[in-house]
Amino acid sequence: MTAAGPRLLEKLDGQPWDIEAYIRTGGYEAWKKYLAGMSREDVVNELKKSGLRGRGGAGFPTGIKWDKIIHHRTPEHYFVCNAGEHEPGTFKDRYLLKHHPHQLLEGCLIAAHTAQAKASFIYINHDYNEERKHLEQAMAQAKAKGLMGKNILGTGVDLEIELFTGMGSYVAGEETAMLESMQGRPAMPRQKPPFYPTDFGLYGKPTLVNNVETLCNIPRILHMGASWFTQVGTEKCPGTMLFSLSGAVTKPGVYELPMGTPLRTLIEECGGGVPGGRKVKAVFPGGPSFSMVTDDQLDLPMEFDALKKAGTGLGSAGVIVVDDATCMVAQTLKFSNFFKTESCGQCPPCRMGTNNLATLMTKIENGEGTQKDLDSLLQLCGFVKGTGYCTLVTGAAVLVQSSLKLFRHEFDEHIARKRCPYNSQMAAVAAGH
Amino acid sequence: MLKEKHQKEIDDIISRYPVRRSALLPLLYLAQREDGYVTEAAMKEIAQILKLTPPQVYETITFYTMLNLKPVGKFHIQVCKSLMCALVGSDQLIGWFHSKLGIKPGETTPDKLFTLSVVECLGACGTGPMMQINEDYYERLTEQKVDQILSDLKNTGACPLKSGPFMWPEPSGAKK
Repeated sequence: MTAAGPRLLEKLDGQPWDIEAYIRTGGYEAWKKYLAGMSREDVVNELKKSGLRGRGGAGFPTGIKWDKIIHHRTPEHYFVCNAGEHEPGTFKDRYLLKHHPHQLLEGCLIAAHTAQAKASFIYINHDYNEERKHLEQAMAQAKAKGLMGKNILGTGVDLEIELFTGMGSYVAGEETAMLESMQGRPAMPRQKPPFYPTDFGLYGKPTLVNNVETLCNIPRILHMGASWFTQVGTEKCPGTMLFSLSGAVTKPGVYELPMGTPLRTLIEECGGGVPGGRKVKAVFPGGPSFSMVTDDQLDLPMEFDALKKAGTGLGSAGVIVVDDATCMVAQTLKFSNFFKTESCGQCPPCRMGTNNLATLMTKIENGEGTQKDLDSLLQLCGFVKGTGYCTLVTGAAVLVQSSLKLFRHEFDEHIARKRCPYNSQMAAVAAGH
Repeated sequence: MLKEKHQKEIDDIISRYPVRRSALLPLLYLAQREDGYVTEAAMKEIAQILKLTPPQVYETITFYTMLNLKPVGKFHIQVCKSLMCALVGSDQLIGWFHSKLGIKPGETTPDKLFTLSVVECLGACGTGPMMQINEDYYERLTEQKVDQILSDLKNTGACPLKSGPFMWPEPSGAKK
């Protein structure tokens, strides 16, 4: 952790689900303050002032989203916390669910109360078994304390939050697909427009959907004030963000850093650099759906706008480090296969595009490719980009494009030598499935 | 039948949602917990409970990878093959399973004990290579660890190496 110290996450002195430990760090203060007399507008204004941006990937200003929901003409609203974390390389929500369930719960209570939700849900991955248990225990304790349930703290407010267990599938993390899944259907993203669930959400009603990390920020902002929150970070992206660091680093993990911290700080100071004397070859700053950056771009500040300007994106801050012993063709193929498997299959360009991309990549990796295949790859990428109801196929295309742009020589080498120059017999075995 | 056995739980699940169909996934999971996979009879019964047609249920169930339509072994091994784990050696691990159990991904051992699946990201990228066996996570795997896990599961049905998901930096105070 850098000089700024932890801001989002206070160290808890006790078990993560222990409500007393959370209360000792100022927990539930914001919720009590809200119930004691803050109006919904006050809360939304405070959020707008803080400039908090959604941490789920899009970076949409949270205050504006909340403003939309409280002023929507339809009276029936819902609230869903999106804890369906499926993005490869991102595991910050899992950290929060496991170690700070109360903070999330407080954020959810504030959000659900602001949205005047008819019903509120936390959509959580099925594989997060232990995390779900922590959350359940935390909810039971909050109920016992009278902070949740009927007639909260004697104010006459009734609020229940239910858990909904997701059954896997990558696209279910996309908010409209998640809502479809909660309605007992296949998790297929909806056609847009309407773009946002704030207009057309769960059961077709306005729905407030927020990411786990966003919600965890909210009690802190209300408790400490918007001006406290904007002390760190950049002007357009205030606050801190949880970076999930994985891949070829000595100490992979979840790190909280102010927005705008250079990528190098994260990899070298927090992650301890690349092990075994190897070097950084490429970094995914925001998971596989955004372009890679190379080792000469490590001074890029990690925030939404600067990365967008550099042609990539922060996404949900799943930083994946690739070292120089890795074959870029083989690793791109891995993600191409990932997108192929996870495409929900409803939009033809995606269903066929991801398949063809993976087929061509497999061909090149196996040494059977030709220069013509490279052209087909690029053509295909250009064709499928931006199509589809969600951005899955765009991500798949951007990945191949950026890999081809940055590491064209490796593709050429595969074609010229008619085999993978890196030893990856094992990779071929695994990639076949 | 599910209904006789779990009437209370089914009622509880349905009561949580304002619209009945939302209870579909939780009920399918209940059925899977019962038999290890979702049987055709269970699908029909759930359709009846929720006032859906069987194809509506089938449409949903076939979409989700975590719902099994075929029986799986007693221990369902799911090894993560995403890049983050691949960078730290999941491919070798899959090869190791192949040589130890003699099954390829998607297959079950003849004694119906182990099913090997190769899956995408399970959200433990900081502690790879990793796998999930039934409900438990096993992280930072090595070949020795896998040997021990397999023999423990075979002999006692449980293995102390299961991490329960854990995180780096280590929880309880070590962070920061």
